[in-house]
Amino acid sequence: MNTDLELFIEYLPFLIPIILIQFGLAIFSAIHVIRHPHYRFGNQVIWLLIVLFIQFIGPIIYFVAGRGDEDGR
Amino acid sequence: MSQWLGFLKKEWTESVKSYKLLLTVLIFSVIGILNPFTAKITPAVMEKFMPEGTVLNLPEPTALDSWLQFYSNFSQMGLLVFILLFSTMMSKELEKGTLIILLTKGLRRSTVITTKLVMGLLYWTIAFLLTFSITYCYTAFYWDQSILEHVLLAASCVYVFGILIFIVTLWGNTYFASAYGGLLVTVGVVIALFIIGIFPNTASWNPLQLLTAPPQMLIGEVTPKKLLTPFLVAMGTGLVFLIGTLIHFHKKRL
Repeated sequence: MNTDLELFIEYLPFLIPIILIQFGLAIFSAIHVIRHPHYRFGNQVIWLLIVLFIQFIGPIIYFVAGRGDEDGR
Repeated sequence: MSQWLGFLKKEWTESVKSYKLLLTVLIFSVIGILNPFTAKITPAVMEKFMPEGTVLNLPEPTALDSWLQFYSNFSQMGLLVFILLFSTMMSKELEKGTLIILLTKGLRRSTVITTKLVMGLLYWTIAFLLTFSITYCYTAFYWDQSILEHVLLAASCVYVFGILIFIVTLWGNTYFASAYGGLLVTVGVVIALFIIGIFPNTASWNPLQLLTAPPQMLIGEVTPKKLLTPFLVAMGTGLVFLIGTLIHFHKKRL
């Protein structure tokens, strides 16, 4: 167990930024999905799943293709 | 000129408002961190998941492994992300017809294409510099980089290839006026390059060499001189596609 902890600490300089950015992006996109309930296609549940469970590509697809315009089209 | 700068500013504001800057910065810093991370953690993971009793003689990861990860991540994932982000830049305006008002008010058509090109190149530069500098810093921190040659030059080959792919996307996007059209053209060009690459005697000029040769350049097996022709071919093709885009857009009915 001890070695696991040492290993974990060794990789901490990598893990902290990666985890922060990944979760940050997923949560940011999820909030955007909920607060702007207009999409070009698909519905809220689908976009939430895409954004939360597909790393990186999910939020990109949402912001590029799925995000509707502000006037609700 | 002021018209050009004004349109450039509009492009910049649009890209920031549509979260492109945010996504670019976040994703490319993660790619930058992932490179040395994958290189470092792979032996440890292999040891954990091998059945007990298996003796593995994995060499310690070196700076080379980290840079190899850079070439597989940045030139695949990174390029894909970048093309996806900018695959709608022309088609969106053409589909919505937002350009018509500006063009009838006297905006030059070439301005539209060149500003979009410059904006895309700016983002690609940001992405490249971010990934490169982060990978470089981590690698320098963990390993000795003096065994490698031409680190920056080898990495910039991928950058040049990205420029070519971006211009091809811009052309496809303008020509077919739909996001899928641009993406399909890009995928088609990359597949064509791979098919050309099957024949070994094309290696002296195929622009795909800009993606496949840099790892060998790091260990000194390929001299930078050998990549000069692929570089020139890539730049020439890019220029042809750019001029093609300009000519096509000039005659396009909106």
